[in-house]
Amino acid sequence: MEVALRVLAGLGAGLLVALLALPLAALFLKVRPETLLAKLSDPVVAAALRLSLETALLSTLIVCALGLPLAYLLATRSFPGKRVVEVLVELPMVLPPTVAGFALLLAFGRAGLLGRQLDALGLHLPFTTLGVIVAQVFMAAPFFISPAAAGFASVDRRYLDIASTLRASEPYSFFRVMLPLSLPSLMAGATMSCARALGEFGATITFAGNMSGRTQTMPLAVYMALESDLDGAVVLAIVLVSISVALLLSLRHLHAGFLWRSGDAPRRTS
Amino acid sequence: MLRAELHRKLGDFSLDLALEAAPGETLALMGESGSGKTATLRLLAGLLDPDRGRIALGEEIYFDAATGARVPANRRSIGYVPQDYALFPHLDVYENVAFGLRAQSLRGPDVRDRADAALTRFGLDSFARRRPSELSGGQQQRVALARALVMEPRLLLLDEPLSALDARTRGEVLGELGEVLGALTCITVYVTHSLREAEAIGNRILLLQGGRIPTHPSGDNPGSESSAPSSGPQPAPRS
Repeated sequence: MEVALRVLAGLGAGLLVALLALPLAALFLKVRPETLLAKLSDPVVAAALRLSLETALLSTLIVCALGLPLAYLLATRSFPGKRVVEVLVELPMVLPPTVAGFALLLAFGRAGLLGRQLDALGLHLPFTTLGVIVAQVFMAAPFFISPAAAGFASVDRRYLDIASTLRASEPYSFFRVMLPLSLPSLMAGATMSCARALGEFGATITFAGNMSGRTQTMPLAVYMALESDLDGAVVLAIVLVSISVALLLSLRHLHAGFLWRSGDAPRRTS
Repeated sequence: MLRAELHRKLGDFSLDLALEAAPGETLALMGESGSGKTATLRLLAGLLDPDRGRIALGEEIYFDAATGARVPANRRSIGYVPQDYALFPHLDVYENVAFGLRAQSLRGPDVRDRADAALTRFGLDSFARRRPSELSGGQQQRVALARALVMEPRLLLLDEPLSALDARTRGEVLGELGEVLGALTCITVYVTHSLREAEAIGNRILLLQGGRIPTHPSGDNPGSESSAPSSGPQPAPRS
């Protein structure tokens, strides 16, 4: 019975690993190295690659800059409506991306909730590169804020207490104690957020459209290339997979590098 | 002069006590686990607020429930060494000691001079660039003490500073600590559950039981070495 269970569990695990690995293997087997290099210099591919990297990097920076204070507030303060804010922050993680894009249109489109005000300011978000960034920020923010808030909340209160008895103000404690001790969580959040922004599709195509060089990011270009240029689609997909793998590996490397921060300094008595 | 009257409900028991201590005096606050020793220190440090009462250090009123006065922990002239030292794990010994000086935005050379002097005083020069995790328990205790004293506090609070050490080290460090504390001009409140430590370190011993300082019918605290009242202002001469 026990042996049968082990075999069954092994088969199940193997099946899932195969399901995860086979599509990736198929991608890499589909294209020849010379095609890969040739397609990378294709103007449409290059434009999608550049746009994706630029917008994902920028939206990650925005998410970090705006998410840091919000994560700190959520981790350290109690305030009316905190639960609502927490749900709002986490919602994009479970929201269908096309619904998110549609909601963004209803809020920031020309006929949207803030359309007239944005128009008056000369800001046009739908179907622009700025719109791509807004869609990415919307979808990627929870991937940073949730781990960042958890990281802040897990900093041992004793260190903050000691900092205050050493005359440290709250901002000083934040930068010299809270931030460095939460760095692994913050880096993990930023990496995941960047990966999410890079892979964003549904909200982007709904809110920002699909214009080469302006709003056509790599996932959109893959989708378009599937109909006309299979080699191009494969090359773009391989680039996306490679970046995602690199991000994941850097995340693991960072985690290992910061292991010493995860708990109390081990104490030796002698 | 420290004058404190502290009342605070803590879970299922309440802390109600009065303390007085003069500059240069070391008050040993002795009691079993859960008697309210650490809470007393946290109340004095401003990490916890009394429900009622008053805390005055010299002319400064740190807390007064009657007037609503409350000075936050980072504005009190208090040095605090918690039981497990709580050294910042991401900073080396030098940066741990210099932390409070930098927090006050002192000039670079002043920070260096004072931090270097503190490291030398506690024999930590050769460990300056080590992380807390690379130090022995005795060395960590000295770093925690140096970090608190470099700020020149008027009130030093020590929470069972020897409890994290093994028995042999505890004996060695007790002598060193007695010498350091004996030379201080600030008020020291030393919390311990060990009578041996209390006798070796304190000028006066107060016994804390269930959040209170019980008094004999004579009015004396049973833990007090001198015949001074439990919260009496007069310090016994240092032995």
